[in-house]
Amino acid sequence: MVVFVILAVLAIAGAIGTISFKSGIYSALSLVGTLLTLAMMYVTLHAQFLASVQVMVYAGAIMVLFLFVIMLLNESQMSGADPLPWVQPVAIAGGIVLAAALAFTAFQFKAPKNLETATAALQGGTPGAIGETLFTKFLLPFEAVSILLLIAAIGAVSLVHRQPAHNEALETTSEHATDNAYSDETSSNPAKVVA
Amino acid sequence: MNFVAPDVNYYSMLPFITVLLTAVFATILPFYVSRKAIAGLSAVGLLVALAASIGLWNTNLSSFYGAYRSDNFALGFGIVLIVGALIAVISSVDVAKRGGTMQAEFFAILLYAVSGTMLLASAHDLIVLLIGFEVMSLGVYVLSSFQETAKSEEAGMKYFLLGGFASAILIFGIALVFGATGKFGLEAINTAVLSPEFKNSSIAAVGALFILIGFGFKVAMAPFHQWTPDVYTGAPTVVTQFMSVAVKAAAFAGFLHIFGLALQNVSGWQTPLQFLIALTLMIGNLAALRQSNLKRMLAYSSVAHAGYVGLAVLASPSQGFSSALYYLGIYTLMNAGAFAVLNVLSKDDDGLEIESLAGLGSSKPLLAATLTFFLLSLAGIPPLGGFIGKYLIFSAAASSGYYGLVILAALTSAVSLAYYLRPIGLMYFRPRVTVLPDFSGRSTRVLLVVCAAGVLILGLVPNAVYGLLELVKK
Amino acid sequence: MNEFLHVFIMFLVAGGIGVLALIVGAVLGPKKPSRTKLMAYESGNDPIGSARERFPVHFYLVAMLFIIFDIETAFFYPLAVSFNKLGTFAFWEALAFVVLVAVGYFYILKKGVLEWK
Repeated sequence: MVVFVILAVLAIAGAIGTISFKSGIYSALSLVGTLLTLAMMYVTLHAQFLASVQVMVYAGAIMVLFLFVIMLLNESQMSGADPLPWVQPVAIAGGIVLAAALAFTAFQFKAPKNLETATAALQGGTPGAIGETLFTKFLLPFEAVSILLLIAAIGAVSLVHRQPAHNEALETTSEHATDNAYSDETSSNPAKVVA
Repeated sequence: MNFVAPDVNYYSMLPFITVLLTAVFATILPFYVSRKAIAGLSAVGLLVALAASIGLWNTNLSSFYGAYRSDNFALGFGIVLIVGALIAVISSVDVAKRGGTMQAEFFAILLYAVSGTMLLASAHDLIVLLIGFEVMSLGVYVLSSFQETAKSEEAGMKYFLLGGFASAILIFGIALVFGATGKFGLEAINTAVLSPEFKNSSIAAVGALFILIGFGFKVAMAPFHQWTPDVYTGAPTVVTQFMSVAVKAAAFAGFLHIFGLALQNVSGWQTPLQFLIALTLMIGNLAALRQSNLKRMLAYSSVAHAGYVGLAVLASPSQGFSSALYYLGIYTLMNAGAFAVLNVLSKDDDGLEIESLAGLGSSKPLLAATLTFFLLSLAGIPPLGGFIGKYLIFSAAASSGYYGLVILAALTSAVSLAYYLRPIGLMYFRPRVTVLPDFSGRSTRVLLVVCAAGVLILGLVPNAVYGLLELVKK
Repeated sequence: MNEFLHVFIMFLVAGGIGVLALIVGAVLGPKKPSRTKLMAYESGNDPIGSARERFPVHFYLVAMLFIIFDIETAFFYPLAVSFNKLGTFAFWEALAFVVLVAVGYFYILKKGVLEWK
């Protein structure tokens, strides 16, 4: 319980830091703090593999993306007057009400399963236990995730590389001239700037 | 070694796998063949999947321990989704004609999104349902920003940010429902809720509300419809066409499944849903009245239609499922048809001023006649399909006791006559002011006639198809 | 919880050494700042412009694609550990997964995303 309280305070502090720092880098680093504390919470919940994946994917890879975005944009572009100043107090009030409601319901929780047997079935959340469940009970979600990854990859590339896949696939000839899609993009989209 | 291979029945997933494989080929082949060939391949793949869906009718196969079911509900929705995608593929041919550039990836991403929608409609497990939902959403986010204009990119970005937020709320809701019941299977959740040991009704209710918000966003129910007008207007017309029919139908399939099968005995979401529907009906219909752009008007009209179908979610599953499916089937034909006409009449993706339709009745009789059909059906004028669809949904909701909402829906649908009839009046009773282009190819003209005929047949002999849908009842 | 105590102690020691090194340096070290010393360290070269330059968007795309394949790897770790138990069935299922993601890889390669121009 003590461990949980410490981790919870750290996680909430990180989350508040994420939304209140003016500098994007500080916000991103606060988010790293929250993500790492969450990983530690997973460890206390006997979900070791999940914890390591959380560190690897979220705190590692996805945070790098966040920092990339911050570096892609100039810091000056991120400041400026709030176009909707009245939103902030409303959002704070709404957030407090929502958090209170969720906290209230959380204290009414009764575990639907016997906790001892459920924890035993976890086998400490090791990759082996996860692998067995993943390839039997959750096989369909596992396979379906590959479609999700595939469409994410194709979608991202097709938005950035807007040249036709092959010249034969062209019906209009106007785009033939630009073999270099990179320079083509920058002219039409000021957000994508080549340094 | 007590490993037991899971229960996998690929045969039951035939339509889904067909669409997925077509999508894979549509990803690889554009490097080697022309775009026209890819369009043809996509259409053939979708037709094969359509045939497979019809072939599986009434077989009630399931796979992965019942996580994926090819029951008549899933197959019926699958057919509606495939038809919606087919219409989009055929309409996309005209885009090249008017000098627009639809990237070669359009077909691949569209087909992946269709496979996501089919997964969403067939899933009986919250995780699978969520993955289907996300595959569909990711595809549509990308498609919305496919036109290289600031407007289209803004539409995609807006949709992506708000949609990501809505997905997060949906996932939170799913997590709460799982936490309350300890189950992912839809029927298993209901069993857990009904069991005497169930004590987490408040957590399940909060989870249900969050799921309601997530799906309310995707089907464009007020007040979560804010993205709809901007995204529908900014996205390429063909994409809007697909979004407004297939994405809506699939989201409603998941919506009906979750609330009809898993959470029907959880209290706390019915009253908020009634408010959402009432608000949707009013905002959608009243805002559509004030639009001068046909594309934006159709966007608000699709918000209003989300309100009508929402009534089916409130109704008891035995009537709600089949009436929603019937309605969405007709809605796919009439709304996609209206967008197809809009697509061939406009010179870019910014839509069309309603005023400029004046005199179309004499200059382009076929387009004007089919558009009239679709608009009359959307308004719910009797001999056409839209009327029967509305009638079925209203009676399903009324027999569950929601008289107030049904009266409101009938009133607002009377209001909707004003904005659906205005373009028709302009087309036939006003002299021509602007000369509109006509980019319709032969395939589109055939498509429009088929859609109009479908709308008429579904309206004249509803029993022929609705009798089949009775089997959807659980 | 006890099995993680040594991990926790290791974190403490590792973090402690880092913090201690900074404190000792700050307390004991002589402080004679000069312009050259305060310059950003770029391997002995004189720094040119600000370090906070904007990055080409290309990096971002590659980073994003990296995450997609990173997640794929995360799924295969449990498979590798429990492979002996799961047998060939899991192998075929995993192969289906890989083939689908490989379609994406093929597309990325053919599209020339990984070529640096």
